[in-house]
Amino acid sequence: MNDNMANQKRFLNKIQLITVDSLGEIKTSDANLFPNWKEGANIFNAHPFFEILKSLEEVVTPLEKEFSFSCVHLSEERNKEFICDVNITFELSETHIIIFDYSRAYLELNKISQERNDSIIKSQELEFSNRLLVEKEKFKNNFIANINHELSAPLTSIKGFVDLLEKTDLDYEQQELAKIIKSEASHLQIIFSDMLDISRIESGEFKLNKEIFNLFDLIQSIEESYKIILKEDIVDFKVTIDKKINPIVFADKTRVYQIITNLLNNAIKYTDEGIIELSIFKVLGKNRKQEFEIIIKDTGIGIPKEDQEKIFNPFIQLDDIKSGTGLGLYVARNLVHLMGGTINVNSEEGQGALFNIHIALQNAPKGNEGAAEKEYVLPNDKKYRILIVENRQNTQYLIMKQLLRHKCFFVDVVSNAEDAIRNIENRNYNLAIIDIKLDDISGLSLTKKIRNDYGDAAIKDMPIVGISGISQSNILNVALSAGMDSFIAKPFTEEILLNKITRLLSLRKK
Amino acid sequence: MTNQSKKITLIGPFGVGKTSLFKRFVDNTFSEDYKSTLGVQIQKKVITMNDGSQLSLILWDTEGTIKVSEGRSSYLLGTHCFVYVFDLSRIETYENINTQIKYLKEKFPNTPVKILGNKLDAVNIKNVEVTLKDLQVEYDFLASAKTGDKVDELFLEIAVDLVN
Ligand SMILES: Nc1nc2c(ncn2[C@@H]2O[C@H](COP(=O)(O)OP(=O)(O)OP(=O)(O)O)[C@@H](O)[C@H]2O)c(=O)[nH]1
Ligand SMILES: [Mg+2]
Repeated sequence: MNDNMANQKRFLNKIQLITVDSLGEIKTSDANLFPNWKEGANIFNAHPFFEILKSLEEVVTPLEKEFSFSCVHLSEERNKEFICDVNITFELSETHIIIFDYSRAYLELNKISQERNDSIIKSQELEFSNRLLVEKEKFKNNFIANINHELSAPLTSIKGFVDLLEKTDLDYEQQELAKIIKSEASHLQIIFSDMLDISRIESGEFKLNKEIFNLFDLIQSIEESYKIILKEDIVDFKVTIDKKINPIVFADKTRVYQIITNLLNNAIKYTDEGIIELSIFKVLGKNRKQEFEIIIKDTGIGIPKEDQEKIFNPFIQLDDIKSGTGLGLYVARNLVHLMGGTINVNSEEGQGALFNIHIALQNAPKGNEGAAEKEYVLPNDKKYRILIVENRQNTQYLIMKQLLRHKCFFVDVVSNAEDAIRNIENRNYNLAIIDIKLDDISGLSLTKKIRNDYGDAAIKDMPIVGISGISQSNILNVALSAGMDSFIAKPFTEEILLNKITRLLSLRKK
Repeated sequence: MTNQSKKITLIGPFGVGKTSLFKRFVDNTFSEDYKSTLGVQIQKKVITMNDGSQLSLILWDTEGTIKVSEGRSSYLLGTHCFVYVFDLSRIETYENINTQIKYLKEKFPNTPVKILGNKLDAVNIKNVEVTLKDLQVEYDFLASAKTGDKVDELFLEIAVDLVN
């Protein structure tokens, strides 16, 4: 009876009082609401709600003999329905029933709950179907990843065996056949890896792997390999590079390569004669980035205006005669987008096509410039013991992996300066790599301590390479003046790391 | 009045199809429209058992609440069997179902509870079974008020259980 009392009073219409005996026969009733529920009638025939009297008889006690039910729908046979509160009180030989008609109040309330329920249900159903979609996608992507894995092993061996086969004594026709098998296998491999890339991109699992590399070297290697590919073709291949470009960039080298070669492969597929041109220009140079325009132009069959958007969709092929799937362009566009760039096509039917990519690549972080070009020579005289002082596990693991791959290093790893000092005092290290930001004292203070507190030359003169993710312009100077011998900005490549380390180790030897 | 009557109470979150199951069983009708139930509506259906005896099922179709404890407790009084309904197409209606069932069993230790997943027609059973398993939902029936699938089975099984 406590559903919003104020409202109830306002909306209360009528009350009906009924008294029944233990068999359910109505003894008295004012018949205010339900005229047929009157003296002599049986309450159990009035409405199935009243069957509750039977079950309540089982639970009634002298202490608990009054029960109230709110918001019960009651009606006489086929007549208007009332929404009522019902009070039931059990006395010794009779039972009193009071019915309050609160229909108006309850109907008012119902509007509100109906609206609330409707909107909640809508959103929950939507969430459910989204969830199913996500699960389906996940399943699909896992499936693709697994199937790729399963397929790549036999494919690799097919290629390997064809290689062996080619080295045997084959006549001309057999050689040609072997060549076809090989090229088809390579083609298949490309499709598989494109598929894998697409599934990763679509599932959001795709990550760019940045490294420092020389853009000129990359373009040059593309030029060389495509000259070979196109050697027997009557199609020319021309490469133009803008000399204003600062070629040392920090980007995902494999993916930049993939974007360019996917577009070149596409150009080759549709160009039977004429020329394919690859050009790269610097459009804008900022402090930390350069914006490039990469153009791939062909003299092939061209793309009609209405198909130009479609060509970036997977599995769309303009010319059915050409073999292969259209995955390459789709992958290229996704990669360009992932790198924050744009890709467009300009073409007319029969007039060749011009793809143009705008993309900004980061310059190599300060302190590493030029490093990408230098070669390093791994020591082969003995094994060197190196201490890594780094509090971040990822970096610890990365450096360890990069060093342990080469058999010439022993590596110890500690996470703080205190452990570093204990290790240094107990063991001779040929070199230490120290993160500038540690949890206890800074890598700079640790370096000063090593340089100043020890008489033992093996300790105080130990080569130290500082590493840090801090992008502060004078960090290199700070590191060097603290007594570090060299400094590497994070993130760095294995090349840079080994370059610095091997240089310091060889200096030390002399 | 020689025949027995048994009270069956339908409970569960709103919109899961309690009213639809009730209507499917009582009148063999179904409506796509959703009209949320206010309070409780009660109907009787007399069924004839195998031995010829009759049993009146008094069905209490209650207003949906997310938690059992949020509902009007008087509706639960004197129940002979609960049917806890959830909606297979809305995870929110069954991700915490075990807590709800536990609550019910503590309050009414002697009253059986049937757990039913409704709207089977609207979902892909393979996917849903995985989710149900993940969430450790134990159910007695997966049904559809829309197609009528397993609706009679539910109430007949309850009837048989209650008579024995
Ligand atoms: N597809 C499908 N829809 C159903 C089924 N059962 C119910 N519905 C729909 O689900 C909505 C809610 O059904 P109701 O029976 O009113 O749900 P309820 O549990 O009584 O809801 P409340 O009274 O608010 O607690 C309605 O639009 C029904 O048409 C079913 O088996 N399949
Ligand atoms: Mg309902």
